[in-house]
Amino acid sequence: MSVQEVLGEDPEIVLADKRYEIISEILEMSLVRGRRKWSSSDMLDKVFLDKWLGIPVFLSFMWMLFTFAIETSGVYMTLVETWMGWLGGWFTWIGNEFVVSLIVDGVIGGLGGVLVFIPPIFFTFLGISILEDSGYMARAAFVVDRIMYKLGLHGRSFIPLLLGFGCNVPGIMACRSIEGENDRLVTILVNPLMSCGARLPVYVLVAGAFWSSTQASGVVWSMYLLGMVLAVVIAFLLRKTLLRGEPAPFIMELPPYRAPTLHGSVVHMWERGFLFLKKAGTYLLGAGILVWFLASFPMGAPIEQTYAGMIGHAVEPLLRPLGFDWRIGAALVFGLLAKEVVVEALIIIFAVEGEAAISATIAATLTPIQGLALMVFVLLYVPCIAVVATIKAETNSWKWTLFGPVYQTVLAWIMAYLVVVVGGAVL
Amino acid sequence: MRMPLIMLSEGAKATVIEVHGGRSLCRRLAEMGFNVGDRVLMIKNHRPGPVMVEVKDSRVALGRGVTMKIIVEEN
Amino acid sequence: MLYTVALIGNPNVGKSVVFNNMVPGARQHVGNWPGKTVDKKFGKFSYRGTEIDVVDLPGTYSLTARAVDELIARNFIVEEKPDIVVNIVDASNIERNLYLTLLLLELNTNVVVALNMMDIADEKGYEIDVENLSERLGVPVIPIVATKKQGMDRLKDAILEAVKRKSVTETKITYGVEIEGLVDIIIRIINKDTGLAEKYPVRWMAIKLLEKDEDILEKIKGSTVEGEILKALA
Repeated sequence: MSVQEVLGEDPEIVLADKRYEIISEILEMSLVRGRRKWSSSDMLDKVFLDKWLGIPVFLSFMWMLFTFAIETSGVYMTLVETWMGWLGGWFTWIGNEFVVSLIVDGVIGGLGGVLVFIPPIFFTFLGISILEDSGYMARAAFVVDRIMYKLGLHGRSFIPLLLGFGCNVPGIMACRSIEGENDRLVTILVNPLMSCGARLPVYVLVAGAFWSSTQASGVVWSMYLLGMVLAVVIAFLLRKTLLRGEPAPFIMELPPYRAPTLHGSVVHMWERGFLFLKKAGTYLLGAGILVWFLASFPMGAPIEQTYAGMIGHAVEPLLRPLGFDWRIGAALVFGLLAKEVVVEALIIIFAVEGEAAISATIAATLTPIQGLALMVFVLLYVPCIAVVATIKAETNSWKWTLFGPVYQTVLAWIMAYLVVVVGGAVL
Repeated sequence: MRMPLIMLSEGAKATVIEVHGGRSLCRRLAEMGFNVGDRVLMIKNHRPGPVMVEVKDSRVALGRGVTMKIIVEEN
Repeated sequence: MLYTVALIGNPNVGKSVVFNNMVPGARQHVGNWPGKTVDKKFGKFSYRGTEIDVVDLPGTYSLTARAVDELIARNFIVEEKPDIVVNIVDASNIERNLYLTLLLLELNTNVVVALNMMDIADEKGYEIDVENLSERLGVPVIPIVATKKQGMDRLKDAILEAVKRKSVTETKITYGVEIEGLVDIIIRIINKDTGLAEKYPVRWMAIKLLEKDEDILEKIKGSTVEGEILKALA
C-alpha cells in the first residue's frame, strides 16, 4: 500500500490520532478514574470564569498583586537607601576627595540604583508566580481574552504584559510563547509601556515633591493606568497598520487549581528576577560610574560646564516646550541607562544630598503640572538600554529595534505636551 | 446532530467528528488531544469570550474562531 | 564516571521543581542554547558516589520541527545522546502527557518516567496502576510529588539503575500492521546508508519521514539513499 493510502493527506495528524489511541489502550489497563467529584476546581471555575463575576474577580486579584508589590517593597526600598547612605558615610575615612566621590557617588550610587528597585520587581514577580502556580493566571488569560481579542491580541499576550510591570526584560522574553509572529511583535513593542519597577522611584520622588501622600499615590496609580491605556491604543493602531492580520488561534491548557508552595513560587520568582539581574544589573552598575564621570569632568568645572551639562544643553531646545531645562534634560538622557538613574542624576546635577533635599529642589524648580509632565515623559520615553537590547535579541530585526524607541519618544513628547497645555488651560 | 463546537451549550457532551482549518491549526489541536472520535464536555461558553472544554480529562481554552472549525455531534 | 540526564515534560508539570530538588542551588547554571535565545538550565548533583549532569530541556507538548523549543529538545536528545531522559508526567493529566512519552520512546532513548503530582491525581479520583503502566510502556515509572519532595530518592535510584543497565529501551509501542509496514520499508532503505543509520535512531527517522518532518528531510540530503527514500514516500 502507498503512504498516501495509509496515512492520508496529513500523516502527522493520522499518527497523532494513532498515538492517542495507543494511550487510551494503555490507560484502560492502568488507570481507574474514580467517580468525578464536584471538585474544588469546578467550584472555583464557576466563580472565576463567570460571565459577570469574572472581570471583577480578575480586577481584585490584579489590585491585590500591585498593592502587595508596592506596599511590601516600600519598607525594603527605604532600608536599602539607609544602608547605602551609611555605607557612603563610612568611606569618608579615605580622605582623598576625588576617590571618595568616585566610590560614594559612582560605585555606591550605582549599586544602590540596582538594589533599590530589586524589591518592587521581585515582589511583583513573587505575586505573579503565586497566581501562576495556583492555576489562576491561565484563567485570567481566559477572562481577558475577549477584551484582548478586540484589540487584536489574545489571552496569551496577557502574562508577558503583566510581567512588564516588574521588569520589561523578562516581559519581552516571555513573548516567546505567543505563536503568531505579528501577535508576538505587537506584544513586544507595547511591553515597555507597562510601567516597570524602575520607574516607581521616579514617580515616588516627583509625586512626593508636590502632593500629600494620599494624593501622590493616586497620581502614581494613574501613571500605571495611563501606560495600560496607551498600550491598548498602540496595539490597536499597530494591528490596523504595520502588523495587520487576525490574531493566531487561541488554544491554551487550563491546569487544575493547586495550592502554590512557597518554595515553588520563590524559585519561579527567582528565575524571572534573575533575567532582570543579569541583563539590567550589568548595565546599571556601569551606569552609576558613567553618570558620575560625565558630571565630574572636565575636572573642577561647575556642573553646567561638565559633559553632563553639555548633554543637557544639547537636548534643552527639544524639551523647552515641556518646561524642562538642561538639568532635567541631562537627567532624562541618563535615564536611558535605566529609568531609575533619573533620580540619581537629578541628585548629582542639582548637587544636593539625599531624597528629601532633591524633593524640595524639584518642588522649587517645577510647577506641579510640569512635574506631572515629567512623570508622563519618564513613563513613556525610550525604554532603558537593557530593554532595547532585549528587543533586538528577540525580534532579531534592527527595524523593530529602532521603531520601538522612536515611537515611544514621540508618544512621550506628545503626551507630556498635552499635560502641560491642558493642565495650563485648566489651572 | 452535527454542529460546530461553538454551538454546544454548557454542560453538553459531544464527540469530535471533523476538524477543519489549516494544517498548523489541525496539528496543534491533534497534539492537544482533539482527535476524531474524542469526547468533549462544554464547560463554559458565553459570548463573546473564548470557550472552555474538557477533553481527555483536562481543560482547554479555545478562541471562538477555533471552535467554529471543530465539528461535533452532540450525544 | 559522569552521566548526563535530560529533564523533559509538558509545560506546567513541575519540571523546574524537580530540577531544583535534584540540583543544589549553588551548582545550577543558566546559559543559552547555542545561537538561540532560549534559556538553558543545567547543573550537577552527586548521589551514592556518582556525579550526574542534569540538563533541563524546554517544556513542550510535542517534538516537531516547527517550534524552536521542540527542535532544541529533540536535537539535544538525538545529537548529544544523554544517558537518561527523565520524562516528567503530570499524573492528574496523564492522557495528554503520555503523548510526549510516546514520542520519546520513538527516539530510542533510555527513558525514566517520573509520575508527578500524584497528590492531585488522587484528589481527582485517579487510581494509577504504576506497575502495569511501567510494564506497558516498557520503562521504569516512579510516582513522585515534587512540591513535597516525595519520591525523589526513588527517582534518583531509578536513574542510577537505568544508567547501569545501559541498554536503550526497545520500544513496545507499535502503530498497527499498516503503518508498521511502511515504517519497515523506510527502515530497510535507511539501513543501506550505514553512516546515516548510525547517526540517528533509525525507527524515529522513518516515522518522522512519514510525517514529512522538514528537519529530517534536510538531514537526509546528500545521503546515498535520499532518492530511494523520497520515492518510497511519494
